[in-house]
Amino acid sequence: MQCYKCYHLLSPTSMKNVLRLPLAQSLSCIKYSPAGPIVPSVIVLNSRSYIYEPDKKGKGYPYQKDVWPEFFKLENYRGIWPFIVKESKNAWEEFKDHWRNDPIMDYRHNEVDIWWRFRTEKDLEKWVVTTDSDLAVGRSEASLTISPQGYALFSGKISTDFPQDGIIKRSGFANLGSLPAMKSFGRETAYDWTLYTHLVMRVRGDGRSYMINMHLKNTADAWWFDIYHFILFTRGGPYWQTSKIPLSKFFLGSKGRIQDSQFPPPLERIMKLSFTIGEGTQSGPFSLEIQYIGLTHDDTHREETAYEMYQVPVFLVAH
Amino acid sequence: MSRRFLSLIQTIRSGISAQQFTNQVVSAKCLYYGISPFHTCSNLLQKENTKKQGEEHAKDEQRENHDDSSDNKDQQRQEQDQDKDTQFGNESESKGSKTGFNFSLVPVDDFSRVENKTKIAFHDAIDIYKRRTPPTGTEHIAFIYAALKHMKEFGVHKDLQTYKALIDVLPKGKYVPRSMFQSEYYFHPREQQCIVDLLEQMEDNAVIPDWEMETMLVNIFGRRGYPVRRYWRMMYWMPKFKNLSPWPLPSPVPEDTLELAKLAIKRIMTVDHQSEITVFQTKDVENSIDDTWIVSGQSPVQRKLLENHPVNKPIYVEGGFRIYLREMPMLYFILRAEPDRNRKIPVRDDYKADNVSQLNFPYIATAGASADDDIVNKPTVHEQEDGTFFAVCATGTSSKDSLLSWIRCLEKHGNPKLGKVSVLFTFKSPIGATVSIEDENEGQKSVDQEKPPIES
Repeated sequence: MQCYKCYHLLSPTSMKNVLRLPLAQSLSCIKYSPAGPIVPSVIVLNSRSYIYEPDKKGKGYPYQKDVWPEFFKLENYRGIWPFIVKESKNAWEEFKDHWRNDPIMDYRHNEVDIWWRFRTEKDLEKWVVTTDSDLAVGRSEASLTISPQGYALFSGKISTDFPQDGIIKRSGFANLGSLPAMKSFGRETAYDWTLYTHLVMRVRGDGRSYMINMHLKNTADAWWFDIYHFILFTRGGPYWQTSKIPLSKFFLGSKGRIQDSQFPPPLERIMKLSFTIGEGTQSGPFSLEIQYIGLTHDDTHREETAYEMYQVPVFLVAH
Repeated sequence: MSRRFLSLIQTIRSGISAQQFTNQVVSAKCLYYGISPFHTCSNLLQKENTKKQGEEHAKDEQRENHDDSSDNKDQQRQEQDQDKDTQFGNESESKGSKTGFNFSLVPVDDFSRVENKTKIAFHDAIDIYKRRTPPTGTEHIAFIYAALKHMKEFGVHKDLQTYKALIDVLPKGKYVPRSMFQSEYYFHPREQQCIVDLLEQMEDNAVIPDWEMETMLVNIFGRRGYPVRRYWRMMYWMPKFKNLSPWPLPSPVPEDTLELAKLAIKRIMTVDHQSEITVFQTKDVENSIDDTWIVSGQSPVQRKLLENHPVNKPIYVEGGFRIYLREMPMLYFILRAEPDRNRKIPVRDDYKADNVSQLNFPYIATAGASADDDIVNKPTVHEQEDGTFFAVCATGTSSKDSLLSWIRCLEKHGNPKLGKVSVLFTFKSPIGATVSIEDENEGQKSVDQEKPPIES
């Protein structure tokens, strides 16, 4: 069978994989969209762009339609009491915080507010490691552990192998993402980083580059996949490095593609931060040690976005 | 004038009749794959020819091809062309005569059959294809996709000239939309998508296009073509990201291990701008077994630290650790001592600093504030919390003997203390996981070879 958009051929065996894979959408095999440059380190799947997006996690994830039968099953509520107790405590803390009303009044120049610290196992619970093998689209491995010095060690092995099903074009990534910002009872919220100008990290890498992603809390499906990206370059070697990255340098991408129209990052609704490694050519082990991730305010930094905001011809680029 | 006429005239000039020209078309079929009317047509032609000319045909063709190329091209090029023509021609002919029509969906592209995989051979393949194929139908796409697939084997995947030659395969003006509706509704989608894929491959290989490519794309697809738009996006973003890294590397990264080692050590030692990179040869050291090089990095600050290091505390040679220079891994070793636990660290009591009621006014010495306790030497960048680093090196063999030679070389070059302190060689380190050179090689292999089945 042949792809309906191009010359790629789909054999019967690969068709079986296609049907079994949850990520398969159609019988075309390459991304049928004249989209912008691809950001490195993403798997490229075939999926046509539609306006309607069924799932926040991306199209192709198993999407349960009938939730009401599950809702009435008692066994689903077995472990609910510890959850309720824990979240009630959190809610009480939030309530107190709200009425204490003690915001940061002075963002002092170059003072780092540490947002995520990596010292104990409990700190690591706030982070999630994902690789392409979790999605059955590759063979990369990764883990987040405590390093011999007592910091976080994000390490593993990137493999650029992928199932030859004619749908996946390339693969090989590992992702370290923080849990999304949550209020009590699992309600979504967002961090407000409006008054910060720089992201500060103390890391020790192996010379590889990592992509930093700022995920946004967006309500409408058209903006669900908007992520601001930038690169974390590591020196490599035995020395630690402190990277101070202006938030204005982050550029807008959607599903891994850089967008034509750029906007300053909306810092009032940052949902989570993640790091991605994986490029088509960089197969092999990697390691990144992290001491902390913080934010700082630099008085001298006035830039909102590093990219041009000029008008472009109508209908020639995305508008 | 169309390419077909041009190529016809070219062949007539070089003294070949029209009948032989069709033969050449037949042998060019190996350059594209899949089913196309042109493919089957060429098979038919070939059958007729084989009937007419019989067995002598294959023998004659070599000579004819030789004649064809001799007039147009220089000596080196001529040889390449001849080799390839014979390879392509003979093999495909023999296969065709055995199997006849082949409707299987297995890709039949003969880039993989070329023995001498060089840039010249690749360009010759493109030339032959252009010379022999009429600018009709959709064979170009199949050809370009086949070529894209094999670029890495020929070592041209980072070569802008080759990408431009591939784009040049498409006819000019044919895919330029002539009305508003054609322009809006993705005129000639397969061709456009093909070139978009080509541009994406360029981008993956970090090849930045030039302005000539814009002219080519505009001539093929018009100013509103999707490949042209993608080209503009690439020309906006790629130069922006090109020099983003604070540790720039040459592109492509050199394949020579010594040059790589120099780059790696230089990169590590950017923490100290005074540091010097030295290349030692092990044959200068007495009793050394290996004959190799050592790239060593050390700064005057480190030399001073080593000089002040107490004799009773050992120093460790540890490694190898891995550093990546883009996709190229490199092993390095460090000379490290345990951090000085008794080192005086300035006490910064945050409570005291924020407490306004106990302000320390330096002009009026208040009781209880002793200035001596607060003043200590600032630790250098080499005195990190997991150890004091005295030097970094990479050697050609990464063997224990070469590391011993390194210590001897360091001792000779301004570190006499190394003769007195006990130096321990450990291939384990408290600062992280280490790898040996065998692991490194095996690791590379295992990444390529291990292929367990993926379960979804």
